[in-house]
Amino acid sequence: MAAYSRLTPLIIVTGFLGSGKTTLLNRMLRHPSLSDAAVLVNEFGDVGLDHFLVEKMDENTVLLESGCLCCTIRDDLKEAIIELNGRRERGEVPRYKRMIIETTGLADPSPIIFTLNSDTVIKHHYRLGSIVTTVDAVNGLAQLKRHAESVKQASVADRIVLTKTDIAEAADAARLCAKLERLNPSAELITAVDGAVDVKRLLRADIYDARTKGAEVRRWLAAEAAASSEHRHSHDINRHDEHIRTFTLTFDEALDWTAFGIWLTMLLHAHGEKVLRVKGILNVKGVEAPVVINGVQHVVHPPMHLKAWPDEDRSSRIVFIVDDIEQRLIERSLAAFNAAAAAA
Amino acid sequence: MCALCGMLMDGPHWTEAGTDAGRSDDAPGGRGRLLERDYRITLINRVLGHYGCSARDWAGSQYIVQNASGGASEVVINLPQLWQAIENITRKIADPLDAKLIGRLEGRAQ
Repeated sequence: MAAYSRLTPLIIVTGFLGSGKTTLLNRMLRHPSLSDAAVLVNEFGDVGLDHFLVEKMDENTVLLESGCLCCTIRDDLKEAIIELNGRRERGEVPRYKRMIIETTGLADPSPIIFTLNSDTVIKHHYRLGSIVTTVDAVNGLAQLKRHAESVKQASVADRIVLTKTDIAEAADAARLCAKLERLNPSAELITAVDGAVDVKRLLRADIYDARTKGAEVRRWLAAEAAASSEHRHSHDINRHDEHIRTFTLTFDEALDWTAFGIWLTMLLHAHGEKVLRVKGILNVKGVEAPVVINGVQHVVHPPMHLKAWPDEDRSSRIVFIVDDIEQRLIERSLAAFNAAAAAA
Repeated sequence: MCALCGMLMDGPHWTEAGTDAGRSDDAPGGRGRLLERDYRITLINRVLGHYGCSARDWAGSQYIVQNASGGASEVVINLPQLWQAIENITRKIADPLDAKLIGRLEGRAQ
């Protein structure tokens, strides 16, 4: 298998109905940086059909025996990716270097992410690059309140693109931004102006791109520090959300990597549907350089070594976005697994 | 595919794969692959004791998970499969947030 960073990155564009996904996609496709991207959409709609490679999928889902909704295989997506890959290998289509997948507005992104990680062929050629979520500044607050899919789409995002700010009340837009920052502090908020967005900022979300990973991890940590500071003042940063909790665990002592892997796989087995996002930087026992971890529900990217610590702080910092799981229980559990390893 | 059992091997799991930096064989803990595997099984068995089960290595690439009587067992290739095997064998979800399991591990650490 090729080095993970050399696999074709997949960019997922998601967002609620009417939140401007297609407009964003059209803008993205006009950017020179994405002239080498293949695109998979659910509806042709207004997407620029003049782009060299736009394919449509029919939404067929297969629920696995476990019954876990986020472990649903999207057969349509799997087949579309594998077919395009075959055509690329045979030289029937240009050698695209990225793939963009647009989800339907009501889609929970989890099955898409799971599908990408569950097929052997896909895993050998592709990796999850980043998740871009559009949120409508006019209706976003109401959608987050009423629709679990909307909360999930924002929670798993690496970049959130705020759309329709030109027709939204400034106060509503500000409240929405504050809510999104509480919900997913490490996702960068980008405002689209008349549908236009800085595509390079979207592409910098890929932590497996050697050109961007250092800056992206530093950005996470700064966002985490800001959110933690707010936490100290408000005690419950997500008090207005009914179920979603966002918090950062900090461990001053180095963590045992093996115990961490056992713990996280077990946590995701039992509660993967509720662990929307896990990402952070670890001080691993016996290793000088920090290790970056990044997971979306049941999918965990391969760990990545940074060449050096991005700041003076040597503590492990792990950001969790979870649905109805107590912070102190997660913290106590991880500490217990780590301590049991220390006693081994 | 494993030549012995016909099981589809799906590439190394993230807990075992090393990092993206050169696809090192060594996991981030810095041990060699087999030492790391041996250590992992020791730690796994500390957890599995709570479920009356145990795991052992098979051919350096798979795990055999079984209950105390040996009456039920499964062969798995990675940790997510191992937790599913525990669930199949014991009819209990292997949950790291289970207060009794946490208490057991905290007790061992003291």
